[in-house]
Amino acid sequence: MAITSLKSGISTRSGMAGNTLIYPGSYDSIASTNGSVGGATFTSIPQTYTHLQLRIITKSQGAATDFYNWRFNADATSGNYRTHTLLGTGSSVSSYTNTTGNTSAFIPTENPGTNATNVFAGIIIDILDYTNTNKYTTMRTLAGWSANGSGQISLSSGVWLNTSAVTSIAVGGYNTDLSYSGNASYALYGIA
Amino acid sequence: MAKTYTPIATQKLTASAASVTFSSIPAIYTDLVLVTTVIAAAGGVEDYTPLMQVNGDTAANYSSIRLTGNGVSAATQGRTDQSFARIQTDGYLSSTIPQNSIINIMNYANTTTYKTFLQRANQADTVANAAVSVWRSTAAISSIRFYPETGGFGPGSTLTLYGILKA
Repeated sequence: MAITSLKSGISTRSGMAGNTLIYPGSYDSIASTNGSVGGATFTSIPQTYTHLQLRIITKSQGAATDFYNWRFNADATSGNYRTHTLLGTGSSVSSYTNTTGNTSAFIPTENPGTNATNVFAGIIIDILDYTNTNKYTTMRTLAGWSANGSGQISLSSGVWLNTSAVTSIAVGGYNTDLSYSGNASYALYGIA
Repeated sequence: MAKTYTPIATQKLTASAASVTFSSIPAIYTDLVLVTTVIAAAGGVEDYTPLMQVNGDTAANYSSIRLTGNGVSAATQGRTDQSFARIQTDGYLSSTIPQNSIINIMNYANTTTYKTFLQRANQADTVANAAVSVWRSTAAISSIRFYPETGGFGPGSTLTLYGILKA
């Protein structure tokens, strides 16, 4: 007996004896890329999921430290992004905010190129209820790197002060001319 | 869209165990996620944190940075040249209140980068914790050993390993 989800349109078989149960997808891979310069941009994001998750490993090629940032729907309007962060470096704890005048939102993942070649930062960004047009879109981030004596771990919240559905996401270095290792990876997932 | 986030294996302890190992992990995913809820073995020492080793590597190839809040203050601690990745703070492992953790093992099968673990772990009655660990090896991860710093895990402890595959 076939069952079709009204939401996803995906057909499954029932769990009745004799049938092999096939679960509809609930966590789908949407797209991925191995960015090098400036990060990555995902466009034409399907509006068929409830949440998005962006999973990144990255490393700056340059000596300078860099903040990662993200921007929705190419919106560079000043003041439309706010973030709050709790960060630990192994020796000190800090909390800071970016609440005014920002044209993008920050992820505190300074992973300088002076670190050992193979040290990569990990970043996981959850973008919640991204198609809902009744409220602003919020996100949360877990990010960090460790270079055996230096590094950081951070928890962040963020909001895009716009009620539009999110159809594109750009992520990359705050210093936009920074390049990234060819092993940097960006993968976008949809959660039903 | 390609369905992903696939359960690879689950281990639910019916008796106390000194450690839990996932071996022969297929190298067909992009990331791994290990979800655990564990308690100390009854009668065991209620102390110390779960630890993790990969590929049987017991050399000093791990480092970690943790961020912890206990309701009173926030703290951070770094660990270098460890023989394991430390999952939790220096809190304790209770025989009644589970310690839960979600450990993201990023890009575990690539052979060009060190392996980064992003961790969220809680001893729910005492602390909330976030951490990052790095295993300084470019080898693909094919096995994971999860174990308490001392004593063992008790019956009812559950560990599930998932694979996430990018497009």
